[in-house]
Amino acid sequence: MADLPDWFAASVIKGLYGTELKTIQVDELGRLYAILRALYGTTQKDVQCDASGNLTLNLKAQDLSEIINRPKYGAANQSLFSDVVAEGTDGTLLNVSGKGILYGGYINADSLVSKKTDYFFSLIDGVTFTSQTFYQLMYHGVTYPTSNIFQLMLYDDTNFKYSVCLMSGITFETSLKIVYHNASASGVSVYSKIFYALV
Amino acid sequence: MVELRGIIIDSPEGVRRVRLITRSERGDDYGTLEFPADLPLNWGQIIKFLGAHYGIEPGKIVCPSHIKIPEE
Repeated sequence: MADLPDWFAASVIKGLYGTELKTIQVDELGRLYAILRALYGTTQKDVQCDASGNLTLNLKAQDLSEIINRPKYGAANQSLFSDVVAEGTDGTLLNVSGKGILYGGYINADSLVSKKTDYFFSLIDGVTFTSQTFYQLMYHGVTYPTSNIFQLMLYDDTNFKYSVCLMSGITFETSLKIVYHNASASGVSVYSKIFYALV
Repeated sequence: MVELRGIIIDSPEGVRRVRLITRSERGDDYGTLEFPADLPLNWGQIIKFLGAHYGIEPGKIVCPSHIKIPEE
């Protein structure tokens, strides 16, 4: 203790191991470590950790009668589009970056001329899913949920009003984009409402 | 700490709109913020906007790698 002032009193802590006194030690930084032990029946076992120092927890060992768990639902949102999509162009109805789930939605098209050759496509995590045209959806009777990402709800090629809805439950990990393609030679008024959640 | 969870672009009434979805560190407190239309949509402006809105330093805003600025 030569480096300490002469009024400084050093103490040594000792602990009893059975009947023998042992000096309690610290590491080079002065930290006092303890080894955790637990009883397995009547045998003591060291509590261990992984390479990162994390203690693992075994829920089964706790004899839980049940574990309640639910998926993360995220924040509900709706997106709107209301605009004219010019002839021969794409109108992006929704463009999302994030993780989530599509609840559903609808897309209405209204025009002064036939739009039966117009169609949609969606990009889910960068993968393109193209729908059939309004006419093909009508001809093939694509009106049932899960038959297509877009299902026909209204096909009126006399008054030139068309409508589709979106399949629900589609999940996306990075992005979701919904696009209307105007394949004909005049503009079309498009209105959409799309419901989804971002986690 | 605030985490960005999504960037949404849509067009109600024919006008482009950008919204940012955020959540708190706790993870269940979501927020939706409309990004100013007069600002360019880039990471610098997003961080600056979120920092000013929540009154926190840029280092306390988490942007997960799967969130990209949507291509338009």
